[in-house]
Amino acid sequence: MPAERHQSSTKPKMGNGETPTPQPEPTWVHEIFQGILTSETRCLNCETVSSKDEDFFDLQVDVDQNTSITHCLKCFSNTETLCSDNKFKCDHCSSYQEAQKRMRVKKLPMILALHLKRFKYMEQYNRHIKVSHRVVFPLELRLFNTSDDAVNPDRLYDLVAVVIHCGSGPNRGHYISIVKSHGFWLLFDDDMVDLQVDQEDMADVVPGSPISSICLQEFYISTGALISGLRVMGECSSLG
Amino acid sequence: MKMAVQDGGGKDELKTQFITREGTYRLMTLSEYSRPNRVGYTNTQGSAAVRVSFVTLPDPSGNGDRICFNFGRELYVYAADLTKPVDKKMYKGTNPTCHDFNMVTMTPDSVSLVVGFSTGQIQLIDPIKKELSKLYNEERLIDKTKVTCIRWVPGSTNLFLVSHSSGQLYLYNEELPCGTAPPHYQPFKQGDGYAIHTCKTKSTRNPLYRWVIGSEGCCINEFAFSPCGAYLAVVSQDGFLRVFHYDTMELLGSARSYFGGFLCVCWSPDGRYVVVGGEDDLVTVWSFHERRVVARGQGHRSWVSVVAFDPYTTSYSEQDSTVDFSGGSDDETAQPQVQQNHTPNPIHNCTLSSGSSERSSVTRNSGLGGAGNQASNRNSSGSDFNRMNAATCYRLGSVGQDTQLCLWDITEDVLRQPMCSKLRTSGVGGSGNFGGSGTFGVNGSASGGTYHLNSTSGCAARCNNVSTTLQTNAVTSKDKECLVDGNVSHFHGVNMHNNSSVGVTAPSLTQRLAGLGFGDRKDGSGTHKRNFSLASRGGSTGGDKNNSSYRGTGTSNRTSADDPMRLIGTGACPRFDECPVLEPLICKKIAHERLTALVFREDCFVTACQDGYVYTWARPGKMVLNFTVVFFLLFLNQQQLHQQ
Repeated sequence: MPAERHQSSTKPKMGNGETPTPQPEPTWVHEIFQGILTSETRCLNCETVSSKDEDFFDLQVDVDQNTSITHCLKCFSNTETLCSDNKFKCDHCSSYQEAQKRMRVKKLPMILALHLKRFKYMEQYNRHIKVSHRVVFPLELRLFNTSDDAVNPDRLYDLVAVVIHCGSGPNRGHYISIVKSHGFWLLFDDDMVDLQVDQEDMADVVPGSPISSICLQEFYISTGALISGLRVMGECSSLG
Repeated sequence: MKMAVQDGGGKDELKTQFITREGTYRLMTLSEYSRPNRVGYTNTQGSAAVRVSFVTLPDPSGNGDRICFNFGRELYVYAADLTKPVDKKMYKGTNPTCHDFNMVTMTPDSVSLVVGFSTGQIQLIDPIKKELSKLYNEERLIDKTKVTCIRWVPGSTNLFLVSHSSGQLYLYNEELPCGTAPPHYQPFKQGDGYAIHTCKTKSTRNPLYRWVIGSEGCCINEFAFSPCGAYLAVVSQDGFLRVFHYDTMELLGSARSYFGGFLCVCWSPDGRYVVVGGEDDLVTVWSFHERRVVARGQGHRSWVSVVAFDPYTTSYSEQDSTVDFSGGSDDETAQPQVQQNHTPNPIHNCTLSSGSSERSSVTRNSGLGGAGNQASNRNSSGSDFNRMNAATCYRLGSVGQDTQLCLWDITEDVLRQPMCSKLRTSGVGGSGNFGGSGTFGVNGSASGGTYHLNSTSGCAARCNNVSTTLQTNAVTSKDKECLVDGNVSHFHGVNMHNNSSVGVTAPSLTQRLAGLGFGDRKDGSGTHKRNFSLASRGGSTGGDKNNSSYRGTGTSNRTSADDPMRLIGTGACPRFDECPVLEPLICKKIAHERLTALVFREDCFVTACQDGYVYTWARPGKMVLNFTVVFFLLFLNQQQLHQQ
């Protein structure tokens, strides 16, 4: 299991699954969504700590039953041990060694996109299934898994958008999104746009209802960030 | 490709007993009912949380215990007669959400119970005599939104306070009418973040007062009167705790969550601390004297829905006068001593008030006589556990949406640490305690030992916590988890003898070393013997020397202007590493569904969860199958029949 976690976390995929060409021209997407993860690895033999920075556009977190997104994010940064088949090649020791590793956020993006990994490959079924665990998410968020050298680690995020997958499995279904605009929560369902009564209902309905159990992606905007970022949400909701 | 399937694994097994330093707590069940079928498992009963209210009527025969709980559309009141409920009510189109017994007017054969509903109405009933039934806000002219909390004003025969999800708090007099028209209000008092109105009418009517708290429409999630009855603590969805002097209606202090709403609130039995839980998954301790957040507890995996002190396990220092109060005044020290004398009602000495407030608290106390906190009516043997210990130690319980119960021991020496100065380098000066290279050098060399221990025990982050306490135990991570309770508690007892000055400095070094396990910064900065650690960003990284310098720059970059809340870094909302982080004494998954109630009683504590199951946990040595246990099981049985 740790090995698997390692695999998935060493290669954080870009939001679109695209690998950018080396040093692409920074665009507004980078400005808004890009953050930096720092991966710290400590060789258990020589105690040398090496760290490597990686860009990310969203964080893909595992979900667990009856937890909060805060907890899922903490788990994302849990320390894992690289051992047996999955040993770490230590430059200092010039050999494969057991090591401990963790990933933490070094640069907090302006808009934090969180992807809940609800489509899981289950070996016993030999296919992906949808995990409908109840994961609650608050309307504001701070990160507990920032690195020591992170700038502004207390940055406060406000929830601005949620992408929801309706349907029982990964191979079918329908995506809708709920987006906050001018203080109102709007539900976008293809060409239908509905007003969610008020913020209190959003707080009440969404985390408590089945909707939260199928929520795939959440967008938190840094408090004080430009609202123009909101326009982007619609385009990004297809990432799910 | 394999996936790490963490869910539904063996670690999710429900606990039916656990050990703390005072002994083993056991879930009271009859085996055939202990795991009821999940067939009738429904979420259709509405989202109202199951809440539990207790009362002990002054019954000479000693059978005065009554319990009330709501589930879905139903409300139950049970007594010692196990065959059927004393009262059972089913409502149409609305759900009861909260309830409270009046402990001033109760007699052996009557008691007033106020019930709030999801659609805003309030009902007053007598579940024993059954004659009484009055409705308030019946036409929903006063407030249409859900009643979130309802309480009799301490010591009052006829006044009760009701909060709604609209963000308003109303004072009702049960003898007054609610009128046939919507009330017109006039301003009465205004302050920072709140306003109080009275009704503008010729004849007095309900509501007597309307408190508007926080920004418009921000749900009040819970409120609690201080044990002495003089103060009112209110928590709301905007993430604020506000503490008022109830009679003068003045805001005495406030706190802000790390993020998200605050969901629950309670007072320590001596009225010195207010504890809140919320959507940041944290338990936050606020000092009434210092008017600031003094500690945060990290252990829940989701939102914290109930916090409650256990007055029977909380122990007070015997010689509190020898302990240095940082920032406290002299009159405070008298208080714990009174407590130590085992007064029948420990909760009534609220001497902390300043000036004008004393008058009112005294008058109210005179009328209180056994009211107030239900749980502490019969305080007798409870505080014996810890009498040998020097420092005051509070026992706190919390339950959450993570289906876990956490128990916390909070010692006063932790709570008395001054803010920031010790924990954090601040401002221009730069290198404070943690940045100091001396400390780091030591850390670097020490890290090896701790580190290897961790590696042998696997990578589960939670286990990092344990490594220091259990250095000699070469056990698997699973076993460790079980052992923690025992070991921590032993340490606990031993270490309590420290006086406060030693208590603060010595462990912080230990725990700095402990934090070197490369463990997760927040999770792993070491289980300190008192279940407390500082989330030291510097300390936890161990040998990585670069970090100390990084840290300095990071700190100076941060200004309050970066944060629009402007509260981060202040006493109302310290940064995460500015304030001691407590770790739970125990943290157990005890239910399948979200937990919604936690009440400490003399011989047990009671938990309830969203799907209607109410569990009784016997305290160590109390294997009494008391009435509550049996009738809950009956209740379960009825529910199952109901659903078939």
